[in-house]
Amino acid sequence: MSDAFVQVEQVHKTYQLGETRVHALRGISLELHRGEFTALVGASGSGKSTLLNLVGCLDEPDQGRIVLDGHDVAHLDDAERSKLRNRRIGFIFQSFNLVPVLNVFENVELPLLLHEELSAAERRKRVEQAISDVGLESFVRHWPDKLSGGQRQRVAIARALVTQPLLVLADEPTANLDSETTARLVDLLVDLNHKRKVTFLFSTHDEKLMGRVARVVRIRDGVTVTA
Amino acid sequence: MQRSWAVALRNLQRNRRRNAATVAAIAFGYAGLVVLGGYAARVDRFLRTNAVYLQHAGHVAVWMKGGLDRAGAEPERYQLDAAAQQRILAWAGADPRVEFTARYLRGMGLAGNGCTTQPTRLFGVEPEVLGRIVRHPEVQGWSSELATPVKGRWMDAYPKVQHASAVSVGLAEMLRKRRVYDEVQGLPPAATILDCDTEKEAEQLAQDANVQVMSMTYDGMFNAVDTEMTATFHYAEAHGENGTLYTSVSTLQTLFATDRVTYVALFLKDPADAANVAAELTAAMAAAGLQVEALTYDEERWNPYYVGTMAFIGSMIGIITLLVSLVLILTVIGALTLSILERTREIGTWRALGFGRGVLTSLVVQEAFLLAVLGVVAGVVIGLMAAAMINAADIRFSPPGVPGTIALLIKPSPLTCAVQAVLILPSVCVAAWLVARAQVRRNVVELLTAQSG
Repeated sequence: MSDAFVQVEQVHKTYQLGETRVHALRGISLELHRGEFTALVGASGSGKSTLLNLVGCLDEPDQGRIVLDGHDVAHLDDAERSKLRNRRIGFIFQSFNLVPVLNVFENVELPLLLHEELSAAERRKRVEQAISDVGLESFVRHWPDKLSGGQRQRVAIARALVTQPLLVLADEPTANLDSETTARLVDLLVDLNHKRKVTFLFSTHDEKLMGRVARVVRIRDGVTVTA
Repeated sequence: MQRSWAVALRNLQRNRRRNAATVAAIAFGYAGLVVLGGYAARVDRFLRTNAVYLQHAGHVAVWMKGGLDRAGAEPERYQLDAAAQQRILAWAGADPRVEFTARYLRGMGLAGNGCTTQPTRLFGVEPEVLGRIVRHPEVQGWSSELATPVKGRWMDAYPKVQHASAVSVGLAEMLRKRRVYDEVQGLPPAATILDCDTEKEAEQLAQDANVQVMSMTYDGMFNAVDTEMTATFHYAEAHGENGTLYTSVSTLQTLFATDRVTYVALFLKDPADAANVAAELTAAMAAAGLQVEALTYDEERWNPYYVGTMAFIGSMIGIITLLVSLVLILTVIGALTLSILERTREIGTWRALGFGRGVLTSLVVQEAFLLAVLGVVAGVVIGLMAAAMINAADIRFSPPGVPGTIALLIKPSPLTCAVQAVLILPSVCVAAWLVARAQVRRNVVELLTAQSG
């Protein structure tokens, strides 16, 4: 029996793009183990984002099976998948996806608002810790539109980690950043991976990042070519 | 979700201009309803005051059973004799809910000036009770115009005049009685025999305030009484303007040769007690062997004009409220649809972070609720200011079916405002729910990758 934390087995996914039917994933299989830092590499349209969406329970496969922390996600209803995302998965988006009317603290706090078991004090402590982990202590009350791209992505990372997830999915998190900021951000992610033992899976087509990660999975035309 | 109201409030700060416009739409719509409701409340109190006090229906009118329909035709059988009157008055006098009572003797007759006669409705009411009615705070507050004589003073100011009367303005004009009792004092005595149909007639008729009242006694004899017209007045219904005469109960009892009265009216401290008082009095009288019928002021067969008019106005207000609510709902749907479309990707982000469909829908509904509450609060302020301005402008108008003019007063009723707010708030929330529901049910990836928002 596999000790994989995430199992993707023979997953197919097609979707309609205008008049065209796109076969994004063609029977892809993949396993992720706890604490792994994995880069998903491939050209645009290779199926990276589709795979991340499926692993992140944002979408459902047409065929195949995805098991996440022992749960076959096909058997979960929308509410259960929402709860799984909130408790087990952190997301980092290419364009940061911060809520513009919430400040840094509130953006990071956002997913914890669903954690009814946490007191306000516990919630505050966790948020402050997450903000401290990404080095934004002096920007706590800043609004997203007053931050640089790198700072915004750090807020997004803090938001992804504040729930203490088992898995963090990042879809081209450095695509909108310059190379210097990208390097600092990757350093941060690697450091957090070491410190928190969180499983990271991020997609990129930036070959320079390959050397910074423990494992690279290449994907082409909806199937893995090396893993 | 914790702090959902704070987040909803923060979301309202996104597009302040649009949200301000939405709040303004709700506020002005609601203010319109407040003013409309205030007008309806004013009309209701005006008509109710007229019906209860100035048309002498009382809050509860006690008739012999069947008397409402047959007292005119068979007065000996269907009017209240002295014993019945005493029993009813004793019961009412012991009930703390009753403010005061009045005995009324009503009938048809002729009013004459010595040259001509006019058919007239005769109201017999004790002068001191009539004085109490016209000076009642309710009457002075809501219908003071009709409670004030056009000329002269009410009968209770003339205790020494044996058969004082008050005559409706139209009837006084038809009888060409230009002067009331006070105005003829000191004038030369009027001619004993009038020169009717001559040029002297008008001047001779104006020399005194005498109005003859004629009718058949209950036993079928012709009878007449000379009364002194101490006042002219506008009757509270236009159809009574040309033929209404008040005099004392005893004067009419003399005219009809009876000791009976048509009904006893009970004026209550709180109109809300009317139904209970009526039921209890009917039961008490029945237990004492007296079969009476106690009619409340809001029964259509007793006060058809008041009840019918208010039903009509109520329907109109209801339809307008519905139309305004519909416009507000569409406004809110439009504003929220734009707002939510702009936030499509953000909704996708919230969904990705684990917020369920219900949580997000409720967040949007909370936003709409806050918008509606802000709009309603602003609407109350605007409505009350508009009402104050209208009241200060002293605009006068002629209500349908009522002689003369009255002041256009807008008196918003807290209950009506509350009912209208209760209609608007859930309507806006339902509109928001409809808009939000459609959006949050979309696939999360579709939301995250949407071109708009």
